[in-house]
Amino acid sequence: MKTVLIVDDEENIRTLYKEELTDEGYHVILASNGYEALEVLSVQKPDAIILDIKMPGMDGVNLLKLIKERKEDDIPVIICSAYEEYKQDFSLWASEEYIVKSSDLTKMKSALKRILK
Amino acid sequence: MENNKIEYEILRDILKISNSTLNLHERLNQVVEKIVNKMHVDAGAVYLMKKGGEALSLKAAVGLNPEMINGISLKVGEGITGWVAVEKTPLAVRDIFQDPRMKKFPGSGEEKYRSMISTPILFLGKCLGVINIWTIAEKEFTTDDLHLLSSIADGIGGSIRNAQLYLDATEQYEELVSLYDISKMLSSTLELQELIGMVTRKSTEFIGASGCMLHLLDGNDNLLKVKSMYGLYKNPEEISRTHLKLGEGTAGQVAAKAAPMMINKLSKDSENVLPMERIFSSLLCVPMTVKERVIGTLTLHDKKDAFGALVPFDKDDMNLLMALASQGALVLENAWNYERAERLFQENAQKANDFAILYEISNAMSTTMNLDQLLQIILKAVTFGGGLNFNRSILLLVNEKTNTLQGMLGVGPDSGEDAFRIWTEIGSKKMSFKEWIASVKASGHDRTSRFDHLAKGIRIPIEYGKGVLALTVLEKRGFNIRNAREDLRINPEILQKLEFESFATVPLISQDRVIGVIIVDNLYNKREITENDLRRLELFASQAGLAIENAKVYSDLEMAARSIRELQDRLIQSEKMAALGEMAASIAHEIRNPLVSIGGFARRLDSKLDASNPEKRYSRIIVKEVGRLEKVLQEVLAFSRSAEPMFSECNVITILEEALEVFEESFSESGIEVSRDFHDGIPTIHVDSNQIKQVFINLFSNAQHAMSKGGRLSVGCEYKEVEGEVMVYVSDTGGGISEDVITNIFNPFFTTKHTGTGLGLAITHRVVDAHGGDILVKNEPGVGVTFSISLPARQKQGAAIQEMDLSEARTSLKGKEIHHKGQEDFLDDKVKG
Repeated sequence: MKTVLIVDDEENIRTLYKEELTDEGYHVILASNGYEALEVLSVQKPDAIILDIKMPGMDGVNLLKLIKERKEDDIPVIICSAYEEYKQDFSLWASEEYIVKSSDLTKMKSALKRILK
Repeated sequence: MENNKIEYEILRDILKISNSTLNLHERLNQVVEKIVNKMHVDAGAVYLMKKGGEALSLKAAVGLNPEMINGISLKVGEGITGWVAVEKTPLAVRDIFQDPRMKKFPGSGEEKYRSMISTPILFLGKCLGVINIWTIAEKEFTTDDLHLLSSIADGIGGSIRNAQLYLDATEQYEELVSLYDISKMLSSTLELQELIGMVTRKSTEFIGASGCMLHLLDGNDNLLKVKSMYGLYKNPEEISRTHLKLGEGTAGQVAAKAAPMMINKLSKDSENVLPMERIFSSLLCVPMTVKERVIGTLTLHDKKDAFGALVPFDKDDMNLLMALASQGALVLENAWNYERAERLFQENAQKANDFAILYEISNAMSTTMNLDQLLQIILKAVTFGGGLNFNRSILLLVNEKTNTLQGMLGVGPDSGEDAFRIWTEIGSKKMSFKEWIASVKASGHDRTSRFDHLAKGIRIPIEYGKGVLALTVLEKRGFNIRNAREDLRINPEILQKLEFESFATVPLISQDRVIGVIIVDNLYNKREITENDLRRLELFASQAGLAIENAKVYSDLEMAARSIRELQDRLIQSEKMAALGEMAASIAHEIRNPLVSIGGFARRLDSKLDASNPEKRYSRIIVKEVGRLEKVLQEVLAFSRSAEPMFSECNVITILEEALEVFEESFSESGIEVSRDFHDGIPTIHVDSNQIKQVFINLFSNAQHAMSKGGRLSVGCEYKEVEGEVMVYVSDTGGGISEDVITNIFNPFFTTKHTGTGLGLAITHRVVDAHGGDILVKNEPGVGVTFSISLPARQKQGAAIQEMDLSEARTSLKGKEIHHKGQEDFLDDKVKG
């Protein structure tokens, strides 16, 4: 069973993602900001990370930097943001995918499926 | 013999002196000098009788103290001179100091003389004065000497008499002039008539004639006309009707020759005498001259003595009448001068009045910068009774763009009755010009008259051969057309329409340029347009021209100011929009998260509900509506972002594929087949890939909407090397767009769809525009629509900045440049235009 870390400050969104991805057969870990995510990462290594950008405390941008610096952890990251306009920048950031948040999670699911093949 | 010769010479000289134009004082001086020289004596003097005949006054002297002249006054009967005046007989005194009649006048200079002759100056038995001569040495004067001096005294008697009359007349004249001055306010012509009447009356009374008539030479037709008669004439009407040419009748001959004429034996057969004059037995006619110019004649008829018996005219009468005539002439000349002066004054007053009106008009004109109102005031001033007083007037302005004269306004009654009504109205109100201008401004436009309507329809090319209005502009001068129907310069069309009979035009000039024309006429009262009218109109037009130019400049300025204000408003608006866009974006982002939750859970609910469950319907609605909201959000965000493109090197085909990918599922759902026609060798283009992708997404979305029941979407891409453009084609088979829709497709918020914001194509247009590209629609009704988008392969600006990778700085800079350039163009146009 693949483990997915979800980092998002919106509780409802975290719940939604968790339920949907659990239904898809993933093991889901939740974090509401960058610090929490780093705590999780210090104890275990998920197979993929779904990352929001705009968050209080440590935001997605800084977290992504730290993850990419830790070369030993080559964890693929899918950015899932309400902002469309950063998409171009993040494609340079070695994230696997940049998905604009939508109530339709088809895109996210298919991206995960592709990455964790 | 010797004495006779001297006597003759002296008399001749004295006669000459007497008839000279010198004044009396100088004449007497010359006479005395002559006597002293010719008779070889040491001193001489002339005393003249004062008015009333009670005293003598020294008037001229040689060898006496000159200060005594007019200073010594002798009582008649006092001294030797006084004795002579009383006795009216000459006296020779061998030794003055031995003579008991002697009276000393200390300081007179008389005391050094020993012998003298004193002779009375007699005229018609009256003593007019005394002539004395003296010698220092004692001398026994001969009777010849006495006789000679008496002859001289006789000779100058008439001259003195004339001179005295002249003096009297001068006094009277001066009196009259002062009277005239007082009464000039009343009537100058009456005064002149009175003066003339006085001349004939005085002449008749002085000389004792039956009647006197005065002819004046009319400078216009050179005819002598009777201006005054005095006395008993049987046929005054006939006389005053008879105008004489120069040389005709006695008066005519006298005037022509400037010499007097005396006929004492008039008969029915007399030659050169008018028949009506032949009823008299004698006549005396003298010229009236002013500075050697004959202005008329004075004629006396039938001299009668104290008992009423006819007596002949004599030389004295002639002299007297000549004196009167010259006097009369002077008076007349003076009166004429006065009349001329008064006429000049009246003309000047007229001018002053003109200026006053012009001043008021120009004041009135300066109260408005509104061109329409100004034109109203101008034409009202032209037609106002207290203004320029024309019946009708039209104002035309030069349109420089079309080089035509264009009727702007016509003011004037439509018919005679209308004219009468207006004039009575104005007359009864008795408005001053100022009040009237105020009423013009208050009432604004008059009711539209037919005349105004016709005037406004006038369009005349400014070329030669296009009539007098065009000529007025071309030749920069006014025309006074007396007979419009026969004048070939008149444009017959206008003539017919406006019923011009005689009219005048005047150019409106400002800064040496003709900016318009005013036409005036007097159709209703038929008053002739005089040169004076034209002069005033021209004066007025120069003012009006300036005022119109001012108003135009003002309105141009106002328009420019308005443009600037509008531009400013637009800038503010766009700033507002930008701020609004930012706000919209932040709100949209905030909304997006809850929408994801709502929509996400609704989907979960929906997937868990069985199709038979009635709640399934509700969950579907939530899912659908959230989907719709998310789409709206996407469009709003795209619209608010589109102002600031972020450029990078992109492959169009990649962008197209990305956009197609978005629709992959929905196209297959709707049964839409996608065909690609991507050429090779397409260069990368410098664009904001997000925005361009949005463009393609919008076009695909529209195509999908048009082909909801299936169809084919053709997407093509090629490179046009010559133009340096990458072309993208998007065609559908959705049946095309209806004509009323196609004109609106790029308008924001226009939509035919039941869902969506309508912003799609507007955003598309804006994005393509911002990239310096172009979008074209080819509509084939019944078949489908093809959108062609051309994008420049290289952005024309910012190549250097591009390397600095400061995309935001660059784009905002570019944005500013566009604004600035736009602003200048806009101002330029407005100011120039």
